[in-house]
Amino acid sequence: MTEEITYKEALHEIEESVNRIESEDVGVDELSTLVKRVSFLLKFCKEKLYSTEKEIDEILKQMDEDE
Amino acid sequence: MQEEITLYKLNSMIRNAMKDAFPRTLKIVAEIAEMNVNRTGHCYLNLVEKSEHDDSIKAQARATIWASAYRMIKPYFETTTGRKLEKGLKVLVSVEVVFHEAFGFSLNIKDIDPSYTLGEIERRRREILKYLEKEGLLDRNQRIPMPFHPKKIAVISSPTAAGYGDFINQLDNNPNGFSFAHKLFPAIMQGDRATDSIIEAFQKIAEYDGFFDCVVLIRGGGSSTDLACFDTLELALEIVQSPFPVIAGIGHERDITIADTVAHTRVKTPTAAAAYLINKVAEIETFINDREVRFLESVQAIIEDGKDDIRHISAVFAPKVKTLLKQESGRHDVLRNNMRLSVKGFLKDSKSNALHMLDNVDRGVRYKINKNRDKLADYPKEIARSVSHILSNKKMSLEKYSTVVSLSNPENLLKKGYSLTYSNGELVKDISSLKKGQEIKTICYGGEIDSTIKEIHKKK
Repeated sequence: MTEEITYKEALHEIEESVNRIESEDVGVDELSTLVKRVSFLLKFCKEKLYSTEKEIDEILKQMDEDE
Repeated sequence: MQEEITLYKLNSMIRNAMKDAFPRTLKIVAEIAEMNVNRTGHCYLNLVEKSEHDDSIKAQARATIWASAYRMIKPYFETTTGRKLEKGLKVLVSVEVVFHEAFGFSLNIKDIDPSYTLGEIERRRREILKYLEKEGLLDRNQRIPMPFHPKKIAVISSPTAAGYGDFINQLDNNPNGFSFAHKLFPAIMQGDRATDSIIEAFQKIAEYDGFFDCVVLIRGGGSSTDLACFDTLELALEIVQSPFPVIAGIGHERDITIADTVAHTRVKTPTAAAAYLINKVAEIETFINDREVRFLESVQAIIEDGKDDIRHISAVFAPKVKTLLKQESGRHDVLRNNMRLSVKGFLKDSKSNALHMLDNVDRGVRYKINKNRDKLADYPKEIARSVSHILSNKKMSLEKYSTVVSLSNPENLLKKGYSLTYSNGELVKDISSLKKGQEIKTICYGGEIDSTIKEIHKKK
């Protein structure tokens, strides 16, 4: 994952993509790109729900050491 | 001379006089300045009344609550008010005024009315809330938006409190499997030092500005007394100025402390605080799942549509192609024949065209040469004609000019009968420049006339 995207942006993009695919005529050509993108975003957001980032754990550990 | 009496006798007399003066119990309002309970369970207090202006002591009395009464009064008071019965409290007490020969004056407390203290607490709360409102701080913490996914949580609690254990347990073992990062900032949650200790924890958390998503303030559960530390202005100021939204789960049911009022979110128990956080994240999970389902359904529909299109096309396509091919091959044969004939004809036509063109070119060139030769012969005649024409034009113009010139000469005009009139050496061009009696000179052909104006008749 080279692209930097925030959680909020990801959720927003998911919402937009769903609205687009539901309301507009999305062609088959575009479909595979869209599917790849949305799958990536969904996975990204779900990871946020179920896992803690390493950096957060490290900061918390650092806090404990500082005390 | 008066009779001598013993001190005991005097004190007995005072005792009796007091008994007569205060036959019934009295209700008095006072502040507990000191309070000690001895081994046998009797409670000894020092009651005071302070001056409203400078806090100096206006009145003071020793008081006692006997163990048998104290055992009843204390728990009732504390559960009703949510306050520990301790020094600093303002109380309404029912007292019996007593005087003992050996121990002197004191008040025997029969009862304490918790509703008075509750009223006092309420009044103090209102004062603090009014102050916060005036300063624009009352809803300051509530105006901080709660992150849509509160994930990094600073917890203020006593580390050993049951409520803290409940909170962490609930959070870490949530049925959805959400992950939360939490960090305990330990504080003393009751007694004299509680307010300072909680404030210290808040200040430590504030140092990590931007890191945490929210602060959860939880209290151990168990007895719901000793909430005084959550009603102080100092803690209220700390909460309203926290950079993170504060969730208060102080664990009591009856009354709402200042801390509850100014916190971003108030929940009843530490467990409820955990549930609140889990629910927040569950909302996002629902959102994500819903969008996922909707997205997949749409994709499926598009793919199905595509498949239908292909099926439809292939069903019509094959027979169509066959017919087309047949038509085309027939047309090709005709075309091939036509083409052969056309090419032959074209070649023939081209050849005769070319010959014809050559002929035309030859003739054209010859004609041009002849024509130009004639033109050259005509040029000298034409030039001579043009020159003589120009000359005669010029001559005519000259004659015209001499006529105009001779007409403009005044001498010629005088000859024809015109005259010129001068006044003061100026030629008169307008009669309005002349006045009656003025001298004028008239020039006619052959001489001048000097005259004086008799009358002027202007043309109307």
